[in-house]
Amino acid sequence: MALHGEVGGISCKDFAKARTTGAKVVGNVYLAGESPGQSAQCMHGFVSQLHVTPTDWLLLENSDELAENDEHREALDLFLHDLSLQGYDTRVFVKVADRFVVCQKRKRMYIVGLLRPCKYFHVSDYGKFFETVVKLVDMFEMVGPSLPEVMYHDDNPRLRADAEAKLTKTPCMTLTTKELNEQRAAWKALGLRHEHGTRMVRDADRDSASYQALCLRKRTCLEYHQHTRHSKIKELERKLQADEVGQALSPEEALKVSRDKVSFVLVLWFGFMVVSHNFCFRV
Amino acid sequence: MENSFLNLILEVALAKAHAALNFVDLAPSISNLSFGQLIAKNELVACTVLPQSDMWISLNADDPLSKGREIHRSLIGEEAMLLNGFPTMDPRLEAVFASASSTQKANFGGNSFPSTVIASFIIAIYFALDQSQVSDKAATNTDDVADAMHLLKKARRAAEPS
Repeated sequence: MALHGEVGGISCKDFAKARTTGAKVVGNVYLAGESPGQSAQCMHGFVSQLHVTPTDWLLLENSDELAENDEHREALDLFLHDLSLQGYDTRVFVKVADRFVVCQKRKRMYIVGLLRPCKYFHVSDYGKFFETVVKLVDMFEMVGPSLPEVMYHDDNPRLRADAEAKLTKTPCMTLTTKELNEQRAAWKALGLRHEHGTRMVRDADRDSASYQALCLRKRTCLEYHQHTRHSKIKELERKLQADEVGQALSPEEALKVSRDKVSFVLVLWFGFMVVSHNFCFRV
Repeated sequence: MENSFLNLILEVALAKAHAALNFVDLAPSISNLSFGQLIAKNELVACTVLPQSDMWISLNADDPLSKGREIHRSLIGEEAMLLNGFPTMDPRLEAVFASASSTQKANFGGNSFPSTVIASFIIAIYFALDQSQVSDKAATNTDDVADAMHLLKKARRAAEPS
């Protein structure tokens, strides 16, 4: 039996948060017809292809920004409108991959389309189709293994080969002016001066062969990241220990904790007010 | 009770900070680094892996989320594919992986769909469609309907009293 369906992805370079193209389309990407990240061309191409060879169902993937960012929502609406002109009922889903047994927080938008009327499949109730899909997809959600469980072990031959190949290349050990200024600004925000190689927290990282293959920019990024995260961990551990042992916190810390508590109560109160207001309004 | 509630908040914050320390993408600028996160049951998961990403894993055996593993290295292309649910260690795919370069695999790992999500959607679509009525022939014209009508008329004529 043929599948009579289509699974595809449209270039997300114009919509993604981490855009890889320098230029940016002002306004609606879909209306622009052409975009530097090829998203507009892909979307129009997909609609044209469906016009010539329509399939009974389709599944498209793209960046979640297309559905959740107001800046791009209009482009999505126009795209869905064009799909409906080709005879498709559509439904947009936003799903995070870590809910589907994959240990990566990959949030993506999926468009499910159904040709109405179908050519090959018999659909007795078009209204119930999406209802069933929603229910079934939700049923597949489950938590899978964590990152340490799926990573290759050190004796893996592919891992070794990759490490050896990386070590043959000489990493770039200079920073551009822009990178240096970014580094300085980041450290300055912490009230510290940028001094490379002095605040690396984890010795095991520094001693690893893989670290030697990193360029200077990445080494300094890692240093900054570890310094900030490690400081935070130490602070939290100290607070936790103080709280568990029942030791008195310093006046500043006690004030901060009490502020946190007050803000938490306020958030709860505000949430309750919103819910009760909505409930009263509906009644 | 108040103390235990505060402890719980602090413990969650601590686990999040550890997750961020254990996994980080070094490709973006220093002010925009993305890092590891937590899911249910305090499990460590990777942040979104993109084609140009350079992920650094820093796990000490005594870290709360490490499960006793010691890893201090960059993520390789095949592992990026693994994070999208591709069975990279399947012997049937050995030839495919051997022919692709490390950069190609990293590109594929960063660009590909999460396979389990796509599989869930495809299975859901096929369950929602009525499988019992599926036909391998597309209803491209009305010949079958015309034939059926002709037969119906013929049968009706035969049944009518002469």
